[in-house]
Formats: sequence, C-alpha cells, structure tokens
Amino acid sequence: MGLALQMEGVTRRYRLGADNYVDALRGVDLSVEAGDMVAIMGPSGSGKSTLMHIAGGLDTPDSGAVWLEGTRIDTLSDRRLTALRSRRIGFVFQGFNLLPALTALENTALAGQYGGMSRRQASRRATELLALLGLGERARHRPSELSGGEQQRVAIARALMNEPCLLMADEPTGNLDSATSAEIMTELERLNREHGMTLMLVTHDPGVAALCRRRVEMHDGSIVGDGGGGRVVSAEADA
Amino acid sequence: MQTLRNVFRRKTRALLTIFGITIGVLALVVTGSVAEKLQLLVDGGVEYYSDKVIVTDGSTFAGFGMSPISSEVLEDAEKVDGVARGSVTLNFLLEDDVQTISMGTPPMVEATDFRDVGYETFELALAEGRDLTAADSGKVTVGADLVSQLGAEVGRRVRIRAREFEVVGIYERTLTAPDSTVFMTLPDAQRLFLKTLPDAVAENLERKTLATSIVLFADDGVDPDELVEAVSDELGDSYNVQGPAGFKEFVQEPMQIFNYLIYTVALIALVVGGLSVINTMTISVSERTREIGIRKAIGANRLAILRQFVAEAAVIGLLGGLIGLGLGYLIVEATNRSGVMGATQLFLLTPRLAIGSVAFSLVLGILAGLWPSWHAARLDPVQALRYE
Repeated sequence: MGLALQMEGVTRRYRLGADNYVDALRGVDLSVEAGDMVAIMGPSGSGKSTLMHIAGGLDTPDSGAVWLEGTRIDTLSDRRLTALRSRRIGFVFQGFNLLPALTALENTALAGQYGGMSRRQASRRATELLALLGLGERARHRPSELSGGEQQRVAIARALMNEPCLLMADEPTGNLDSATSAEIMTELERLNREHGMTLMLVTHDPGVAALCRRRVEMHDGSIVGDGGGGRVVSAEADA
Repeated sequence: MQTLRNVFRRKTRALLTIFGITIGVLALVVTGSVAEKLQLLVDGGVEYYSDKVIVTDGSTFAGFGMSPISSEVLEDAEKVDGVARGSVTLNFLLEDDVQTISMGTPPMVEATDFRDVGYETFELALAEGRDLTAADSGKVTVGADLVSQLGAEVGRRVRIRAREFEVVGIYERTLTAPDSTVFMTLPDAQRLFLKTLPDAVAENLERKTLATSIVLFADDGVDPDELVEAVSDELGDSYNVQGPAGFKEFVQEPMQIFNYLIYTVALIALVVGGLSVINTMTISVSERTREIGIRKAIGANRLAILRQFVAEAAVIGLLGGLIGLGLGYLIVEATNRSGVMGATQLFLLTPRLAIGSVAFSLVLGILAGLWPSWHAARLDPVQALRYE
C-alpha cells in the first residue's frame, strides 16, 4: 500500500500578539501508510491539533510540504483544497461539532452535498451510514436529543459520507464516558480493519492509543517518539 | 427548509428584521398605489387632450377651467385655418362642498353640445344602458365611481343639485377622470350651472350660450399644437388656449416630481429596513462563527457559505416584502372600499407595483446580506472552529 499522508519539514507559527509568537510545529516530518491507524499523543500545546489541521487541509504550513495520496496539498488554492478536503478527508472532533439546528440525517447528508452529491443521493447514503452505525431509529433527532455517544457516531457517519481516504479524529472520545468511549473506538477500529480506512487519532488517552497500531508522540511542536509502524524521519536525517 | 430554520433560529430578531422590511414595502406599496393612480389619471388626461385644443376663460388653465365663457366664441375659433370642428363643453362640480380632500379629480358634471361626435376619439365603454344623445333632456349617464354615491341604476332617478334625472347609462371603470363624472345634455347642465353661480354673476350671463370651455379638433394632418397660436391670435387675451403639449407640461412635470418624492420616502423606509438586515446578518455570522468552521471542515467552500447566508438574507427580504405587500393590499383595498377619500378611488395597486415591491425587497435582502455573507465565507476554518 502507498502513503496516505506525507509531511516534510512542516512548520507553523501562530502570532499571539504584536511581538509574541508560538511555534506550533517545528519542522515536522511524518509519513502515514494507507490503511494504518495512528495515534498522535502529547501534552496540551504540543502541536497535535495543528498537525491534524495541516494534514487535513484545514490549515496551511508556513514552510514545508504536505502530500495527500501523492497530491501536494499545501500549495493548492483555497478552492481546490476545499474540494479535496470535502472528498478525501473526514473529520471527527472532540466536541462532536454537529449543527444544532439540523437532524442527525441532515448533519450527515450535509457533508455529501458539500462533496457534490445531490440532495437525494446524500440523504440515501446518510441513511445507510446512520443505520450502519446503529442510529437508524435516531436519524430524525436533533443533536440535543441524542446522547454523547450517539452524537459522536453521527459525526463519524458524517466524516464517512464521501468515502475519505483519511479519517482524522481529534480526541474522539474526549467527551465520552469509558463505556461509550469503548463503543466509539470499536467502531473506528472496525472501519480501519474492515474497510482499510486510514485513521489518525489525536488523543490524550493511553487506552485509546493502545488500540492503534502506531503511536506518534509530540512535544513542543516536534515529534519526539514513534511507537512503530510507518516511519519518522528527522529533518536532519532527511537532508 | 434549512434556510428558513436558520432564519428563525432567533425568532424575535428575525421577526423584527422582517418587520423592518415589511414597513418599507408597506410604505412603497401604499404610496406607490397613490402614484400609480395619479399617473393613470394623468395618462388618461394626456390621452384625452392629445388631439385637441382647449379654449377656456383667460383666468383659468385650459382643461381645468370652470369659469363661464360664452359659447359664441366657438364661431370665431372655427374660422381659424386647420380647425376642423369645435364643440362647447360645460364642466362644474357635482356638489358645492367637496367633503373630503381628493387626490384625484372631484366628482363633476359634464356636458357637450354633441358637435364632437365623430371627432372625439376618447371613447367610454358602457357597462349598462346606453349613451346620451342631444335629445335626452332630464337624463344622465354616470361614471363608475359615482354609482354607489348617487345610488344610480339604469332606469332609476337620481338627484343632482336638487333636480331629478333619469339614469340611462353607466360607464365601465376607466380609472381616469370620467369615473367620477355625471354626463348630461348641455341645456340641462347650463340650467344647473347657472344656479351654482352667485346672483350678481348669473344675471349677466345668457343661459343658452353658457360654457366653460371650447374644444377644437384639428383637420387631418394638422398638429393641434400648431393651432394654439393662431386660435389665440383670433380670440385675443381674454381666453386661454392650450394644446396637447401645454397640457402635458402642466400636469406631467409636477406629477414626476410628486412621484420622485413619494417613491423617495418609501425607498428611504426600505433602505432603513435593509440596514437592519445587514445588522441582523452580521450578528448572525458572528454568533455562528463556529458553525461556519464546522461547515468548512466538512467540505463547504466559500461559495457554499456565501450562498447559505445570502439565501437567509434573501428569505428575510422576501418574507418582509410579501407581508408588506399583503398588508399594503389590505390597506389599499379597505381605504378604496370605505370611500373615505371620496367617490374616486385613491389607490391603484398595479401588478407591476406589487411585483416590483417584492422584487425590490428581495434584491435589497440579497444586497444587504452580501457583506456579512462574504465575511462569513472568508473566515479561517481553524480559527472559526476554535471560536466559543
């Protein structure tokens, strides 16, 4: 299998004030094999979320290069990057990030419509996905009427709408109790195992990380450890 | 549906904003209906005067003169080269005290000597009965707006200035001056008119030659405006002579100014409504920053975000427009039916005004929504997602 994601020398600096900066990423190199399941770990402020945002095309690096399935994405125009993001990347967030005014079905279908599906196609696929994730009976409910675990499963269904090559989950179990966390992780693991979906999970939870085949440790914007699978290449070694 | 749900997520705010547009459209519909009605009156007048020259007393403006003149002047006027035919006309108010201020023409009595038959091109269609002839002494035909005021029915008698007349015909509504006019024979009108004048004036007038204007028709191929000077020279300074161009100038320019004035007032009301849309949409975008981030994260491009917020602003504009039109229609209809503005209907809500008002409010909503929507579309997804 080829590489789903490749990052080389990626840096990202955020301005916090007139003369105040924070280096969220300091020359990160990372490659993720297609079909892999990678946990990104590290303390708060280590750059995990920034790494995920840049890998997922939500943000662009100040320097370095990012490839998604061999396509360089850091130089794409906003329009093309958005198109690629909608079709090739799925996001799952800690806070679920569902739109409160929409039902579970509408929340899920929305991603399909943004990805170019017709309203009817999107609705059909969303119905299938929600049923697959055990939410067939809850499709017409709004997020406020769903439990945390159900909301996160809606978010997973939404992330899967356009059959992405890479699913990125930022603390997907962070707001859930341990039993529900286990359910969600089982679901994600099944997607990886049965459908070959590449997964990148940002997590604080060692239990969640233990379910992944590879563990990448971050600290102060740099990768400081790699628990196996894939490869980590330092900027110096690459040069 | 989703757009509607988004608009009404903050119900009070959405309703207040829609109400702002509603007031603007209501103002546009109501004042526009007055303008449309007046425009139709003016157009009717312009059409009526388009092929004739009017001679009235020198102290009045042609076409509006109600000061008595002698019909003997007709003979002199007809001598002018290019004049094909002249006709004597008598106009006076149906009642002395016009009870309400009318924006249109007040109820009138009109009579001619029927010499204009075959020359007059401004024809009135009958709804019932028949037209008047020179032999119809004691009989009248009635314009549509006066039917209920006079209790007119074909074959029934009506009282006009304390004298009874038999109604022989009722005209179709034209939305112009004849709607509020009673037509009778010249001798009948001369008798009634004389009674309206002060005794000192009436004593010096000959009933049989009593008129208020002379209408002159031009020979084929002769421009009536070209006759004005020759007729004026022939009759002297005691008479006012006006052709189609003079009439147009007299009524159309003030009408245009009036139109500009009332449409400006209505447009200002609408622009204020538009500003409230900008305000509402700006707040909405600010409150929904995180939602915009989520939408972008799941694949919405700038155009999709722009379209979504513009659609919401358009819905506000459209709903405000439709409600404003509905309320305006009710007000216009109720006022027209109540007759508080006199026999003549004051308002005319035309399809072009109705469609134009709603279309304008829709476009206003879209324009007002553009800037906040553009701002929303350009939000950075990562920053938007971090927004609490």
